[in-house]
Amino acid sequence: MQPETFSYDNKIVRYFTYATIVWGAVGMLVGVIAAFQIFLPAANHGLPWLTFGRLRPLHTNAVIFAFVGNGIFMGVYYSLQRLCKARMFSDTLSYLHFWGWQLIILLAAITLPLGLTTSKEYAELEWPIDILIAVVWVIFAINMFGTIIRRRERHMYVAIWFYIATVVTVALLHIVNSIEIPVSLFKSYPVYAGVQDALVQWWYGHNAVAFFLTTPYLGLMYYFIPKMSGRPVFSYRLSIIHFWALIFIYIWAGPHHLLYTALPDWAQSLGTVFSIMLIAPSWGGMINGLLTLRGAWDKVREDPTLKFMVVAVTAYGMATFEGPMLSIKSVNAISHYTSWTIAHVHVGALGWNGLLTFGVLYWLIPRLFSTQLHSRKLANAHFWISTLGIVFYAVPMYFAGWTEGLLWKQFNDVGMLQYPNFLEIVAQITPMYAIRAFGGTLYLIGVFIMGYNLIKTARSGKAVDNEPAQAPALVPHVEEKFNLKDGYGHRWLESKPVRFMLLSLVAVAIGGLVEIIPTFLVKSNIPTIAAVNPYTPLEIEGRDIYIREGCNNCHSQMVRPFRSETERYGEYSKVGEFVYDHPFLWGSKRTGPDLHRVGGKYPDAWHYQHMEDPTSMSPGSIMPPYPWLLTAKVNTAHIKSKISALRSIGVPYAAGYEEQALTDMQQQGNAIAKRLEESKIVVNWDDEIVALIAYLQRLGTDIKVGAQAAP
Amino acid sequence: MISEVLSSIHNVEVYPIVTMLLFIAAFVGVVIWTFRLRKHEVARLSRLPLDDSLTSDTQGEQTHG
Repeated sequence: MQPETFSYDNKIVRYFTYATIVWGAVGMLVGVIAAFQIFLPAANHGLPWLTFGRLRPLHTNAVIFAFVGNGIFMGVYYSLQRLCKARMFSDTLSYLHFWGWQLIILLAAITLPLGLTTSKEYAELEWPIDILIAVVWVIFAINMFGTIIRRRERHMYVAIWFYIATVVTVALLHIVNSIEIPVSLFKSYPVYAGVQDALVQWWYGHNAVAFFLTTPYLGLMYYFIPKMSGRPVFSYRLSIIHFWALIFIYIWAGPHHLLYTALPDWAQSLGTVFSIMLIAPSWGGMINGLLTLRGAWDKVREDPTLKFMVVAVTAYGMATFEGPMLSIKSVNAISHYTSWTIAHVHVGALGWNGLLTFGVLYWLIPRLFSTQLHSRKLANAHFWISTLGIVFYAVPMYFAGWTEGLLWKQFNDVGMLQYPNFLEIVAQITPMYAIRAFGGTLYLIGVFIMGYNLIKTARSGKAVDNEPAQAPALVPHVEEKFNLKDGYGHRWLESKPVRFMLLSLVAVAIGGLVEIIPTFLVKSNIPTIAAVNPYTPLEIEGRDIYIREGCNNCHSQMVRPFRSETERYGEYSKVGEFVYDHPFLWGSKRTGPDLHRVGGKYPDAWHYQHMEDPTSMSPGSIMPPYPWLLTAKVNTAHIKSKISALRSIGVPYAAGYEEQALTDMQQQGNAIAKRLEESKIVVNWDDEIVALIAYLQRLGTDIKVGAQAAP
Repeated sequence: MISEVLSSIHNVEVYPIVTMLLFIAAFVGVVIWTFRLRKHEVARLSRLPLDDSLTSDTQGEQTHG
């Protein structure tokens, strides 16, 4: 058999390594800034595009899609070519993929600080960018499947299965969660409302964790740990079971983000059960990764790349044990909305994704430049500083989370809330926020140490763009019949990438369908509350300001049915109250108090002064001031298209109401202006603050029969 | 109220049961499948990432065991 000569494209891998390092530093820097802002409101600088509410989505998107995204592509483009013994299918597609993805990141970095956001977590980017993401993702998929089809090794190694599941599922999640009606070039409303929007969002949101932060990285783990240690994976059989069990179970877990909310109970229970089951495949994967090193632990002492891998896989094990625990309703009752969630995701992000990426980078760069690592000592220093950084990040956040969760619920001897003032609890955890910022800073310093070390490494060598390789061509063979005899069943499956892709799709679609369809059937059955009406035009504008400023990053709008919450906030939230909410704004963290029942709680003037300077109304508040809302004017040009867009997705505005909307807006704005005038505050009806006050005063009031907004 | 929503979905109780059966069937199938693979075959497959015999893999640091 004459071997064929070809070459691996190392240049594209190198490009992705650069992007991974640069965006990693940027994303984490934004994270550190946000971490300081949360306890030092002055660090928001009174600038709209630098406030926490806008930077937080920038940080999450940059870390997930820019840092880890490029990390995925770096690892996939390197390992896929070698596992398939084939060059990437098309160089043109490779570079289109690379530059397309960087363009998406750049657009995100521009639009998010400008407040152009859908408000849906990890899916904040607006509709034109959503379309671009879909296009670039399809380019990646074609390039990947083309490579697999042209492979010279018949068997698809397990890492490739994880890559296939990633490509297929991320496409499915992104498309379903991004179905939205455009209002203008950078504004859209999701077609789903209220509880359905929440379910679809968290089906997407949790599976972003599953299929963007987990499955591709497990693929990298299954390739790079054997490479680094020179040993085959501990159990290939376990890896097969690990793969199918993981993708089948993960897809169901989304509702654990909505426990005790207005989501129907059966869907909550389904999410809980599957989340607990997830321990098994997750730990199977962790054990498989760690036991690959059995008999090679002496190498771990020597080799910094393996140190990173070991701690990364261990962090994966810790995070995937904790996740199921947090999905138990009684635990979630305490953890939800608190910093505990933040600690949990950062054990995953900093530990699993971050350290694994660093390990792969330290291993790859010397090989891409045919040289030795510049300094093993610096790599070890990076390892220790980043590990310490994780400890200084996670531990204070656990303390903060438990403090919040327990103090919110604390009653005194006579059955009253022990801490009725939310700010009293905030003051308790502010030092924790400060220590967390220190931990994040340590971690960021480590990234810069790595950057220096890798630049020095690259300069000491010479990049090889095309690495020559040889492998015998694949012998076409007779199609194997599907039979379970002789163990050919799996071979029948895995020698056909497209067949494999469809089966992975079926595995993940089952979970999605069984969970989502019944909830959509509920649409006609959601107990309608007669008093619940669509938002007025001014309230729509106010709601869009709330979305633009990212208020939902610190405030929930979902009172859970606990006495501790009804005492603090008022009546618990009902599923029927959200039927006109496109998008839903339930939030997932309470850095500040819940706002679902804030309507009518304070006079208009209170809100005006509170937005101008939160500490004037709430001494000790850590909320940033929003002075620009007092001077900016509502852009009334879009109200017509907003009304018709909302009507087209089921909000019952009367036909032709577009013509009436502006007049109504002016009327309601003038009424608020008049009320403010009584408190010696002069505003115009179309100031942004007026629209926001209109929205806040409306929140949660529909079910208060005969309730009047406070004067 | 939530229970009203529940009872208004036709036969909602079958969902978790069907789901469980689906999962168990798929899982048992995969396990049976996996253990039918031949031992020497599994050993070969698990060595795939290490099989760079025909490619020039520059060694940054000695990692081959």
